[in-house]
Amino acid sequence: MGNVSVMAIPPLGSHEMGTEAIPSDHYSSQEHFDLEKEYIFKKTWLMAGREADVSKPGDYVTFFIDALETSIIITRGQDQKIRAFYNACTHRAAHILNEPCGHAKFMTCGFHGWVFDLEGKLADVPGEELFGEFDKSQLGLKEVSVDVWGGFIFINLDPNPEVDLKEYLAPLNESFDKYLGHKDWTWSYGWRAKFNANWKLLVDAQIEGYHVDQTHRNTIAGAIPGANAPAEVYSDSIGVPAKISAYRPEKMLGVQTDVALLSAKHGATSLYTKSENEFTAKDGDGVLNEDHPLWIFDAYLLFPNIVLFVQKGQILVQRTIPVSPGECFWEVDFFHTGEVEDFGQLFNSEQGRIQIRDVLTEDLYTAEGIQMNFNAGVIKEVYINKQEIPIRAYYHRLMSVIKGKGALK
Amino acid sequence: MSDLIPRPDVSGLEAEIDAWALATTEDRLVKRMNSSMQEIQRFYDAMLPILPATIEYLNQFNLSELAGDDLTLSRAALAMCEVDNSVNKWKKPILSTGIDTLRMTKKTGFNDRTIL
Repeated sequence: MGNVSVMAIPPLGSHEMGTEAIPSDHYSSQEHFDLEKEYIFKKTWLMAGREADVSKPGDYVTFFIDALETSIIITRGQDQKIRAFYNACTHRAAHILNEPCGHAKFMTCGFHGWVFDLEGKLADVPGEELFGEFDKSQLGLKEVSVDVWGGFIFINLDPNPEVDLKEYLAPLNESFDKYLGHKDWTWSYGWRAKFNANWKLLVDAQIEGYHVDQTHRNTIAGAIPGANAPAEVYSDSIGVPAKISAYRPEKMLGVQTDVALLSAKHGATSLYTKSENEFTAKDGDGVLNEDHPLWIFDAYLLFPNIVLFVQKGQILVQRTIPVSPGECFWEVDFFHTGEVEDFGQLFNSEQGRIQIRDVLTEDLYTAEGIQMNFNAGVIKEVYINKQEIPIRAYYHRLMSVIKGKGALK
Repeated sequence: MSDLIPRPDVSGLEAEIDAWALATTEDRLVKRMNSSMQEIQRFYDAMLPILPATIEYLNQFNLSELAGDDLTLSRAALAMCEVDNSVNKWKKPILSTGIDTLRMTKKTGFNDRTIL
């Protein structure tokens, strides 16, 4: 009896948001894309960096929103405060910092040498006497809203965000903030690619479990059956429309190879093989579903462009950045606790990394074909079942923000 | 190095080990993609019997101390992770239901924005 309730897997999803077909033009229309730029990417909180990458005063990272042709500098000041600025010299608009990350006591424009301090103030102008009327105090870098949650830095191009980051990310509460923000998490590896597909299609690919049995028939179907990937929506949330979860089957199906089983002796990097050694995870109360013996991960959709996978000992972040209606950058990043110290751990890390890489190639495989069919007008609407309800929740959130002209509530 | 666990006997396997003991994951990926299924299977069949002992043997050293033949052996062992799916799941060198893996550019950090 007790065992039955412990092993029960949540229902696959629901029809609570309706059953009607969803139009597809928001994936292909330039007009809709222009609205997304204005009302979503200029109004919502966007994950832009990791706090650990700006741990000391002068550390900086840059973040680029291609569709907006906007580059942002995030740096930590001498006062320990994290600030974000448009990467735009107030002299003649050159990008000031061009590296993805680095350290600079001052931010010096490479064009003519204007110097800005870490608080964004214009500190020095070579040949200042060459200018006429001039008030340096008015020519600091243009500041951008910034906040930190779970160790991730978010920026918001709205100078006065309608909601703060904490409210935006509810129901992900302080437990998540603490767990994800733990100092032991370090970036391990990641990949980046450009796709001829709308930025939302690559989000869609990660937020429903209905695809697993077919899309992953040559890799992991059996290790995470579609029937073990339930969905949940957060109707009241502003920035977290939905999540999906993954549970192992009681008996692993599919091929558990000799290599995978050897790997499993030395770590838990692979999502798809039950490890003999579990990761240790600190501060996971209220975040990890550790009471369920089959639970693997929860994946949260952070509106508009993030899928955040949370599991014991591993964080996986997928981001998409729009370029045009039919083009985007896709990237995925992994965070782990602890260093790889011996060959067994290295073997486990390599095996897990390759397995997820190959699975991701399958997830990414369909997007460009779908985009072609939308662009060509062959398919004008899509059908969403109850297990795919995160897609519907995502669409509703998108359209509600667009129709509300950027209003989030 | 004091090796309490003995080094597995790789006599007769040197050619396979040398062919696949490439330095990086990306090198080994390209090797797999450019190999025939017969070549992949031959390497897999040669390496699998000694793989458990190889991991145990290499596991007793600090990673940074691996050098020479042991470093070569470690890379060949890691190549088994690369060919595993080809041999056991796809039965061919390249997954036909995924994008070209080489499109996924390796990042160097969270904010890396390699120009693609």
